[in-house]
Amino acid sequence: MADDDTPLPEDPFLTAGELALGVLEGGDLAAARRTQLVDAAFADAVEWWESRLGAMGEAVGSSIPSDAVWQGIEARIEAMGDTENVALPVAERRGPAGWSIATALVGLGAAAAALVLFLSTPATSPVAPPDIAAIPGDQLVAQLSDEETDRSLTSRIDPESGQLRLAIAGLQAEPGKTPELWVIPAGGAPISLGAIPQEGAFSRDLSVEESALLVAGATLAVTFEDDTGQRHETPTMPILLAGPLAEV
Amino acid sequence: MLAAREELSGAMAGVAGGDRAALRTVYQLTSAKLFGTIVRIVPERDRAEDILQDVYVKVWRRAGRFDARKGSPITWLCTIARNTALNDLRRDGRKVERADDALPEVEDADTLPADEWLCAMEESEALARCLQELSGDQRRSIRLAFFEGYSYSELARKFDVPLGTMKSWIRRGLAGLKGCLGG
Repeated sequence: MADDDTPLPEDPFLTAGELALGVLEGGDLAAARRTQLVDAAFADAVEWWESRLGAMGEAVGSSIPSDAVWQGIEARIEAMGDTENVALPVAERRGPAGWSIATALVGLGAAAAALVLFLSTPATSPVAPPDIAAIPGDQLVAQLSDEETDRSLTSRIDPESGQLRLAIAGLQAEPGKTPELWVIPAGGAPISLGAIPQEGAFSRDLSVEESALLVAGATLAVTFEDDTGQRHETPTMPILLAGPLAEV
Repeated sequence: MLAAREELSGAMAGVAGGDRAALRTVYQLTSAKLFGTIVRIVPERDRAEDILQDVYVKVWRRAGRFDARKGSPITWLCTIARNTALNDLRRDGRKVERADDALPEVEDADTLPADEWLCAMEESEALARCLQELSGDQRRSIRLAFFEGYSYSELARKFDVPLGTMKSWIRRGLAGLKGCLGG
């Protein structure tokens, strides 16, 4: 093709295809995953590509794994207990359709929102990660607390199992409000991880996209938001708790 | 053929309801296929088996989110297997460069898989037809990216072309597929 080297115009639908195909890397990969989290139309486009390209995968030959694999699966499910495969009410990413949210977050709005978040963070002092010796491997921990209000949140992410575990205290919200967890990628805009309980232990499975955002150097934050059952696009001030994720 | 697909759909519903026997059925019906998908990307057998375990633990946790209206269960399962393998590759790196480094033409012929009964054949056929309409460079780079999990820079190195050329091939190929598949 004579014009094969001429760049094509930007097309988010093709970017979704690149993400599904797995060719993106570095900053482009992170940006596309962020967009997938906040933009329903983009997320749908990624699903469309995964399903279409997936048909190619069905033509791959088969290979028989050893019996130990099934035994390992059984053991791990046994260890999880019976309750953990109950589907969590994952907040739907149904905001205004189209590219507006992504554009707003990726453009100037992103810097502004992140700045507001950091500047308006109250005098919560992120405390050092707790009891490092007790936690094996390359887990990620954030300990957020505010002594004045007695609010605290300890977060532990196990990249191996893709699990997010939280211990929450003192996040009692007014009726109609709920605490909501946010991740702010280094240099990026806040992205909602959904509503969390007001008190107690909580754990859930992270999506691949969420795991990609939850890396050392990213910041976790908590706000009160309207309890709509949906993830919000931007956090409502004030920030109740905030602190960095650190590898242990 | 149809019976096996229905058995898989039924078992998926059972898994969503927390039925471990149903997970066992899903495993029996699909583990060889998913393992085949994973070893294409991560050829080391032990590592691939660890990934396969992760995949079925994820399936156990996530079966409630499978939406039969959006696609076939085997495609959903293959996507989880592929993404888990790709993530492992991104985290720990490619430990084995393939020996057949001279750009294997990934099954460009239309060979049919032995367990085709699982597949939504209409979709596979449409995709195969649409891939044939692309240029050879576009088709081969998309196939290699899909099957071997190569990123843009790895593909550019493999094909010995500038990164921009590789991006252009893939994006043009995807644009062609989009038009052909009706996206």
